Parts: sequence; C-alpha cells; structure tokens
Amino acid sequence: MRWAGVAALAVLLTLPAVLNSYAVTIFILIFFYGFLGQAWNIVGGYAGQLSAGHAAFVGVGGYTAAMLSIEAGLMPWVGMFVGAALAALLGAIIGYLGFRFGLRGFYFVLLTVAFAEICRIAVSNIDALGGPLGLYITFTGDPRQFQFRDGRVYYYIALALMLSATATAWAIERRRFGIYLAAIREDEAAAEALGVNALKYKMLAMVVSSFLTGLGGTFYAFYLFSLQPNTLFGIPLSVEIIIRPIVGGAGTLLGPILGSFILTPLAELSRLYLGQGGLHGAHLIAYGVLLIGVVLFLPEGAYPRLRRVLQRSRLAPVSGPSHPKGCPQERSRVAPVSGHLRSEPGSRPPLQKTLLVARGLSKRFGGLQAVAGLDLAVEHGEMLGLIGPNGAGKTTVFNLLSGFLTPDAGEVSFRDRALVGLPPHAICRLGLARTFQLVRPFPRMSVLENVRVGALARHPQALEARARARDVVERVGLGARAHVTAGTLTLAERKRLELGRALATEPTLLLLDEVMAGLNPTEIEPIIRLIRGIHASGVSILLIEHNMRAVMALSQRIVVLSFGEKIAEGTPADIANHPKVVEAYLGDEYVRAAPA
Amino acid sequence: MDLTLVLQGLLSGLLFGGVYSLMAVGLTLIFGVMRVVNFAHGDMMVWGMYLSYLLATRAGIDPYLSFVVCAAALFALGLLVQHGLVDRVIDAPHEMQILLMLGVALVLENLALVAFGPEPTRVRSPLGAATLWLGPVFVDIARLVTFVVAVLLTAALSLFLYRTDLGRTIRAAADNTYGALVVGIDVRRVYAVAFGVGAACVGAAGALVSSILPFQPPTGLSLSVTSFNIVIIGGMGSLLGALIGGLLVSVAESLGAVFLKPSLKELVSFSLLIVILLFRPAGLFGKRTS
Repeated sequence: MRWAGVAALAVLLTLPAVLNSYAVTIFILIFFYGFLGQAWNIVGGYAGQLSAGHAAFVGVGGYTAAMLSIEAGLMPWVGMFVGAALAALLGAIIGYLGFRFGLRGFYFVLLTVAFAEICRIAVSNIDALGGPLGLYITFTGDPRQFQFRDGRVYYYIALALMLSATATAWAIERRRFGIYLAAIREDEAAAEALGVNALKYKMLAMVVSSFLTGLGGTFYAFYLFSLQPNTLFGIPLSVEIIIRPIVGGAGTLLGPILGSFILTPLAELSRLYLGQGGLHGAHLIAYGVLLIGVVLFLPEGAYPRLRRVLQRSRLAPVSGPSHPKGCPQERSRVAPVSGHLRSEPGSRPPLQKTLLVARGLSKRFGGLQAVAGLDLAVEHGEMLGLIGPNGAGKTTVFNLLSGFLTPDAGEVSFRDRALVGLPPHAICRLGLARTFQLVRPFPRMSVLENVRVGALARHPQALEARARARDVVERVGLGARAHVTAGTLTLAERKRLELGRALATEPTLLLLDEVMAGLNPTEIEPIIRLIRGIHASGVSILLIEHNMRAVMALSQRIVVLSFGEKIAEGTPADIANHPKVVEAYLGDEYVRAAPA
Repeated sequence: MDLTLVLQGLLSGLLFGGVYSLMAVGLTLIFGVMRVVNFAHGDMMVWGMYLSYLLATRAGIDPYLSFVVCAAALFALGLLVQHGLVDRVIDAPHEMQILLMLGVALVLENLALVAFGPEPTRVRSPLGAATLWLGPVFVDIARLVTFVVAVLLTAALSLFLYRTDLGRTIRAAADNTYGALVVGIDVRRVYAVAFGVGAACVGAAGALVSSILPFQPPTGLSLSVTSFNIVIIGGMGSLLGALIGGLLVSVAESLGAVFLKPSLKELVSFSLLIVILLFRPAGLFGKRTS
C-alpha cells in the first residue's frame, strides 16, 4: 500500500513533462476538485454532517484574497490565508448555529444552503465587490501575484493542495479527533455517553473543513482570473464539491480523490464533446445518474468496494476473509472476572463520603410526572439495585443522572461535584458512565473500535487507548470477536459490548440499564459473574434490572420506584417481602388474596 | 414610502402566493407521508411549465386549461420516481434519500436543458395582458386566476385527504406506517399515490405560472429551495402550514422587493428560514417533536 502510494506520487510528479496542456488542465481540475472534496470530507464524511453550502467558503476565500490583492495590493499568497480564516469564521458561525440548535439531516442541509444563498445574494448586491458581474483579475504573469505563464505551475499547486488536505485528513483519521468524529457520525448520543464532546469536535471539523475550502477559493479565483457570485457561491458548485467524495466514498481517506479521478474527466469530456453540440446539461445528467446509481448500488462509495476487492484478491489463496478469528464455540468463553481494573485501587483513594447523592429529583413530560421528588444515594463501593414496574421512571432517573435530561427540580452531586446542567460527556469524564437499555453500538465499527472510543476518554493517545480497549474486550468476554463489525453481533454480545464500552471509560460509578434484558438464563449467568468482577475491582454500580433473581443476587441494597416515587428501600430480603413492592408489581388484589 | 406601492406589493405577493402554497402543499404531502424530502420538486415544476409551453405552442391549449394535463403527467412521473427509486431507499438513512433525490433533480433539470435549451421562456395566454383596477392598485387578471385555481386545487386536495377513503388511507400511513401495515393497508401503493399527488401539485402549479413567470431549466433549483423554505416555515408535513407559509413567503418576498430592492427579495425569505430553523424548527404550524 505504501509503495503504491509512493509510486502514484512519483507518476503524478513527472506527468506534466509528458502531457499536453489540455491534459494538464484536466489534471488540475481533478486535483482541485479532489482537494475540495477532501476538505468537505472532513465535516461531511468523517463527521457525517451533510453540508450543502460549501461553495460559500470557496466564495469567501476567493473574494477576500482577490479584494485584498486588487484594493490593497496584498499578495494572494498571504491573502489566501486571510480568506481561509474568514471562511473558517463563517464555518464556525454556521456550525455553531446548526450544532448548538441540534439541526440534523435535512434541516442542517437547509441551514448550510441558506447561508450560502444569503452570501451569494449579498455579494451580488454589493457594488464594491463587483455586484452580479463579479471581479476580474488582470493578468500580469507575476508569480508573487499567484499568476503563472506556465500552466504546469498550477498543476503542482493543485496537487500540493490535494495532498495537504489528504495529509490533514490522514492525521485526523488516526487520532482521537477522527475516532471521535466517526463515533459521532454513527451515534451521537452514545458517543456523548462515552465522554465525547460532540459539539466541540463537530465544530473543529467544520472549522478545519471551511478553512481548507477557503484556501481553495483563492486558487479558483487566480486560476480563472474572474469571480462571479453565481459560480463561486452558487448551489451548483456545492453539488460539485459534495458529489465526488460521495461517489468515491465519504469518510474514507482516498474516497474523495478516487471520486475526483472518476468524475472530473467524465465531466470535462462530456462538456467538451456533448457541450459543443449544444447539449449543455449532458455531463450533469451523467452526474445525476451516477449519484442515483451510487445511492442504490454502492452506498458506501467506490473506494471501500475497491479496497475490499483488492484485499479479497490478495487473501483469496490463503484462507479467505469469510472465516474471521471468532469461532462460534469460542463465543461463550468467559473472561476471568477476578482480575481488577488496570488503574490500581490505590489511584482512587476511597473517600468515606457518599459517592452520589440525588435530592428531590423531578422530571415531568407533558402530563406525566415521570420522576417525583426522588432522593437517592449510592455509597462508595456499593452495588445498588433500582427496580420498579414498567413505566416507573427508572430509565428517566438514569437520563437525569447522566445528563441526557435536565431535571425540572432537584440536585445531583457526584464526588462532591454538582452534576445538574453538565452535558453527558462531562459527566462521563467525572467518572460516571452509563449503558443504554436499547443497546447503541456504533454499528459499522468493530468491537475493539467501539470500546476504544470509551478508552479514549482517559487515554488520549489512540495507540494506548487501543491497548486498553483490548484488555477490556477480553475482560467482557468478546476477545474472540474483537475485529467483528458491531452491527453483526448477537444481542448477548451487544450487551457485553455496551458494558465494555462504558467500562473502558474507567468509571467510578457505572449505571447499568437492564444489561440482562432479553438474554436467556445461560447467557445471564456469566453476565452476573462479570458484573460481580467489575464491582470487586472497585467500581460502584447502580443497576436497573427486571430479572429479580439477578437483582437479588447482585444488589447490596435495593431502591424501588413506582410512578416516579420511591416506595421502598432496603436489603434484598427486606424488599422481597415489602407489601408495597408486591402491590406495585402485582396490584393490591394480589396482596389481599395472597397468604401473608 | 408610497403607500400605494406597498399595497400593490402586498396584493401581488398574496396573489402569487397561491402558487407557492400549491407547490409547498405537494412537498409537504410527500414529506408527511414518507419522510422523504423531494429535492427534485422545483425541477418537476419546471417540467410542468415546459409541458404547458409545449401544449400551448404545439396544440394551442391555454395554460389555464392544460394544467390538468400537466398535473396528470407529473402524477405519472411522481409515481414512477417513487416506485422505481425512492421505494428502494425508504428505510435508508436520510442522507441517502437526500442524495438520491439530488440525483433525480440533476437528471430532470439537465434533461430540460438538453431538450429546451438555456434561454428563458414564457407561455403566452390571452389573460396575460388583462388588468383590473381596484381604486389605486391594479390586479393582474392572470395572477388572480392563478391564485383562484391554486387555492381551489389546494382545497380539493384537502377534501381528497379528509373525505375520501384513499385520502384517509394516505393520512393513516402518514401517521403511523406500522399501524397502517397492521390494518392491511398496502403502504407501498399509498406511498406511490402520495408521491404522485405531490408531484401533480407542482405540475399544476408549473402550468399555472408558466404565463406569469419567465422560466428556464435552472429555475427548478430556486423553486425547490423556495418550497423548502415554505415548508420549514409552515412546518414540515403540515398542509395548513404549507398553505399559510406559501402566502407568507410570497408576501414577504414581494414586500422585500418593494422596501429593499428586487434582487434582495430572497434575502428576506432566507433570513426568515434561518430564524425559524433556530427558534422554532417544527415551523409555525408543525407538531413539536423532541
């Protein structure tokens, strides 16, 4: 792979010596659109935030550099960075509004389109910027003015731009930043629960992406010597920017480049051969058909498919990838549970104060009082069970404690820190981790990658986090399945993964939401042992569970909720015989009829 | 500021708003039923315009009659797009649906470009030149007829959805797909009909404005964007929202043209859109969902 890259680079560097000027032009466009696609890929692909207004950044970057050059005589080599900075500022504004106000999917698309259109209309109406006719740059051929008589110079600049954007994407991809972006794209809430500050990383992705795109604006302006609002800010340019990474494979390193190598020559040739015959829209029809085809038949894009085909042809004689390491009989193997967490007990001095205290916790959904004035305390090193009939408000309590919901009233303190108002990722980093009742794995990541997202909360180095994650994967008994895609796991395995991911954040208190629901008795037994092991290693646990046998066996103390209120609290033995509890579960007729 | 000018702007905006409403009703119907945003909406409308142009120039049929034919043709197109394409990604992530419809939009727009060329066109109708003076302001008869027909069509659509069995079936499927499946509704057929009806709305709307608004293939994109603005402002999936939103956006743009300048009129609707997106994403008449 590395040699292929070096060879490709060598070919690209020597190509201008043998190509005619038309071919050089096509390569310049391939690199330039590959560059823009790669820049878009950082926020649109890796972070999964579909911006359809990237043309605005090209426009802001290009107009800034051109105006600084025309009006102030500033060299475009400097102006391009000023333009990029302004584009990044615009990106930050759009990103903040979109992400802060929770606009997703179509709504985010429209927000980005609206901003780009507002820029376009505004620029068309500002006479100082040339109005609808735009700006023209006089050709001087002065390299300091970003002008070159030899087209091959543009070739190398465009190539450098594409390579630098790709290097940026590569650096992001293999660091915590990139792993977090992938987690956000897969499931933002689950990522938050694992300590990922989704707003921050999405903003960062947007800023990097708009900065790079802004650099491209200067190239565009000084390559074409003219800037028009409709071409630089228009929706068609945004579509050109998006379509290449999508066709090539959004969220992959080489997808945008492959997409540009496929589409740019296609567009240019059809423009050349069909456009001259009066068929202006022909290449865009081809785009449309390709886009439809990609969505229907190749939704991940060309590059992932190509990579699989290459790998298959290389591996075929050996064993074939259809036999992953995990064999079925290995699956039920249970990891040793007596071991303790990597972080030794000494690193967390057991305070003798109560670990988590919630007072007067209340939450109302419309007409339903889900939680009403609940007091709850978890001691250091305790295993507390939270039970109650369906709809009692147990999961709401978890959501309130972990920051996914804000209580209407009441306060929560955890290790003497007030939690109310903190976002989920901050609460996770304080040492309070949770699992979701309906498991939320990152479906397209492997088991190990899933757990690594959690481990990154404490170990920012991707390699170290991977090593930690490997330990945790072993610990929850998924060692043999470490490289399997999470989407293909059985329910029992997903529950273990959910547990492992939360455990990887090295919590002081672990909130487990029905980790045994839906499992059969033979699957439950090892989970009970696993939870006991985690508890024995010094992690306090608050668990919601419907499986009474498991709750009774695990909990040191049990709190019973009914209609949002605490109706009983005590040892498992107390609770089992508590009349209010029996009534809550079975109705008062049962209590009256049952022998005392 | 001249009061007459403002009144005139208000009136023309309102009258043109009927078309916006009809267009947005089609979009909101498609979205409400299958949660798919029809990015090709404006391009479908442009095809409605060109069809009425063909019918007027080749067969001499006035757009105010041919809109029925255009609606029928676009119904068939909508049915086809739903059945052949959208149905395959109905369970896919929204991004995939957006990209698919973007592909359809590109194909439709550029087919029009290849077929009819880039020059702006307009259909001549005998109604085009007639005006009626109401005191200080005048009423463009073409706009008045367009408005009346558009509003009647929107009313007819409401009657269809609320008073016929097929309409009730469509609403049931929109409310709860699984519930509809459980009670034996052929949801795929309902989807196809809903997409067809949504497309028929823009087919009719296109024919109705073809004598008022000069058009060319790229007009579709701006019409799509305007329809998105309207349904977001009115509330995605809300028929009433689309109706009121259409009038509102049209009046706002028309007044924007009076108070600012004509080339800035879209700025008003985009600003309105951003405010709504941020502070009331469910729109003026949409149901709030958390």
